[in-house]
Amino acid sequence: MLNRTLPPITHNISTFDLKQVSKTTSGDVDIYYLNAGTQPVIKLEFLFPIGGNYYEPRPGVSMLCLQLLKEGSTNYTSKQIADSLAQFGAFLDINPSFDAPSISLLCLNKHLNSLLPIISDILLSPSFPDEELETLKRIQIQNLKNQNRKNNVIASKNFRNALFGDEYPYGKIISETDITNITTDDIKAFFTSNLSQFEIFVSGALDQHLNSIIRNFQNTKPKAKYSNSSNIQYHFQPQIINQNKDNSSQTSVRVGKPIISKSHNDYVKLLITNHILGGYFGSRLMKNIREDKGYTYGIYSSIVNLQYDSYLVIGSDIIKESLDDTLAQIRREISILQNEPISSSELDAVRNHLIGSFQSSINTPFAIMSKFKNIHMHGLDYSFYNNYITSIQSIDPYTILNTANEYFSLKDMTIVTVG
Amino acid sequence: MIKYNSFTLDNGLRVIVHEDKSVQSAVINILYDVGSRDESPEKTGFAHLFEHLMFGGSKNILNYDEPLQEAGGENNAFTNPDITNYYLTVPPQNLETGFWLESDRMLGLSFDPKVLKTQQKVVIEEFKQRYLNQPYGDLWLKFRPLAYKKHPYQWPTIGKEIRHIEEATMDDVKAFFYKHYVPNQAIIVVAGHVDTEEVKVLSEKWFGPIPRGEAYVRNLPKEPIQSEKRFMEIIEDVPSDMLTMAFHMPGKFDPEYTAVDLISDILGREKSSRLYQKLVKEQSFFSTINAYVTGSIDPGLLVITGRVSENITIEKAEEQVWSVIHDLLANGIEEAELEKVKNQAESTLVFSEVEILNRARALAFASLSGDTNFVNQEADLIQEVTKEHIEKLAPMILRETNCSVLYYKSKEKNA
Repeated sequence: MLNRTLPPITHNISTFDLKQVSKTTSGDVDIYYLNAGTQPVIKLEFLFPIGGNYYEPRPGVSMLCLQLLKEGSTNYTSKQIADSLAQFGAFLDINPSFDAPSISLLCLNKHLNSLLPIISDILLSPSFPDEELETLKRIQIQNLKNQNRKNNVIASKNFRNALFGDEYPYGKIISETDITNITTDDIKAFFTSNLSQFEIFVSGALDQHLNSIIRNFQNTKPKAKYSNSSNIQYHFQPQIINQNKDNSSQTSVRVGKPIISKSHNDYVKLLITNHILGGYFGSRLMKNIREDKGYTYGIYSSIVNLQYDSYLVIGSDIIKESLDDTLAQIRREISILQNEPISSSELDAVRNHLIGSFQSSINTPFAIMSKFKNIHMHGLDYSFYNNYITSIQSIDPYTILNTANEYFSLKDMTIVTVG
Repeated sequence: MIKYNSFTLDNGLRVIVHEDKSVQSAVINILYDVGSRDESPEKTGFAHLFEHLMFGGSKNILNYDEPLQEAGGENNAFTNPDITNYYLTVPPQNLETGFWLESDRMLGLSFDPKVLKTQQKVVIEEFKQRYLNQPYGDLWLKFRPLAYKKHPYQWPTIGKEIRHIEEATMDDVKAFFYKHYVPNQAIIVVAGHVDTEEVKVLSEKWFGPIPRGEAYVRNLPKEPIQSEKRFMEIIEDVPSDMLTMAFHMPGKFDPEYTAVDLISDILGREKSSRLYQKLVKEQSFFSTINAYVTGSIDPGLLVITGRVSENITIEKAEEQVWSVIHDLLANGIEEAELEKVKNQAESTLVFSEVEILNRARALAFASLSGDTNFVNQEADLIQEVTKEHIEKLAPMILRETNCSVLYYKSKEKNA
């Protein structure tokens, strides 16, 4: 008779294989590539290292400039670009970012050669038609209006603003007027100074297609190198900002503060400690505030890594009446993390979950490439992941307790609520 | 092409194995053939509430999530009008932990009153988060009963109203479990870094002893053929007017389904589509517009939805949509246009199969058609659609008397 009360023996995951990305160049362009996967697909991504909001003269320029790339070039009109992409069943996505935005092409590899001339034209000689800018501005203003009706969106914006302030690029909040005032000249100037340098990331079943990509970009002219000469600083002050809305059925909460970057020695310890607090479904915040109290559908704690700054944010949408108790419970969970060493069974679960979810997050060539991008963007190499895994395996309860004391002290956190 | 092996246990549980050793994890996907369409109109939202309860401890295991996390696994689930689907990813060496957990909750639940109480609260917060606390959030809550008069698709999976979730009792929970959560109404797919022989042994060991349940005969009210245009108007505190139009169409496994799906693509898939080019780009009647199909198993909907520009009335905007439709009906479609949407549909299918979990889910869902290999026929079904077929079908679907229209108006704009 099967004894169902006894779990099968589980094995710790000691090793797995993270395929490494290789590098080549085409003219002045760096190409990072990964040949992997069983489906005949390719993802070709162009990343603009200095193309994000951080570098824009006014809010909205980076986003509109990126979107306008698809709306006309020397040899193709907006409609021809849309038609050709669709004709080859390809999808061209814009991925805006504070730091390094990108555009990515997803296609069947058999169509890559037909698509390369269009993509090149979009990237190297966009035409930025006035009427297309006007259409995009109209659409973006409506999107913004819609977004600004969502408590969770406003809470996230207000939170960033509270951390970094109005003058610092990461703290700015875009307004309708910002969008209205953007001109074609702003867009053209930003393109020339910030979007004409890019790196290529290509993954999937590449076969001979890598050579086509290399050939395609070999005549790209060398570009001036950018240096970050920004002198702007921000001065973080913990604050409490409440925006009450009578007609809301829930309140959006954000709690957090600026924190160490990915390259800091304590970063992995911080990540593990954060995971215990609110990084996964079995986290302490989730167990307490969702599974025990039923105040919310979900509560998470995350570390956000921007290029020049990082921050910790605990976020949730909760029953309005439970706001005070939710904040009290967050305080309580942090205090427990700071004062009571974690049990060995919880630590085992956290270890295995972290490593297991890392393993399942590298199941596709695109995901493996994105793991590479995450280190490359921060000037790190694969030793980051080796260190990540060994730190998870070796971390002890007191290191976690000390990390919680060092980085999760409550008195310097900002609290933002909306609704 | 997704290769698979399949077998059925004596208790009726269907098992499908898809080996792909290039993937480092193993996945288990269990589909229970029950969705919100199987609920009573007086107790809606139950299939989904039940999904939450499946994580609250089973017959012999106090907690589902913790042992899985200890084994390095992750999991989640979703409920829709047709099915309830549970899935997990686990390191291959710990595959048996997945079998242990999934089989125990198929065998029986803890039926702990505290779990029911908490999950009722959690689901009510989910209801608020998704449906009430954001602009247009209640659109489908209000629109479904206009489009469906008889069929249970008239209520959303989350439930008609919060009261139904609040009123669920432990007796309801038990009855639902023993009716639907039985091996003969489930399909399990094991995929990734796995061996068919090992899966056979594990399936027999853990699922084999679970007794077969009574067969559930689905006998849902059929949606009558719509014979006149339906209309509804809502005025709410939203930033702009939203137009939604829905036309009845065949279900996912119907031979005509793919052709109608392609009609929706021609009308409103992405920026090269007719609606976008004519009504957003050439003339600015809308700021966004698209068309899609709901893809349900019972007859579904072809939906056109768009946000109306500020200086345009929603009435005028609707007229413009009809003029695009009438142009398609009067003048037919271009071969190149059909080629284009076929290519889009083909690549979407291939892209969706990059992820191992998606492949597992597709295999399970295809099995509901009666033939798991349906999953590998979809590409051909797309290619087989002809211009003539589309032109024959379009007038049957895109007629006014088959249409439900919702004006979701902005209070501010229409003050």
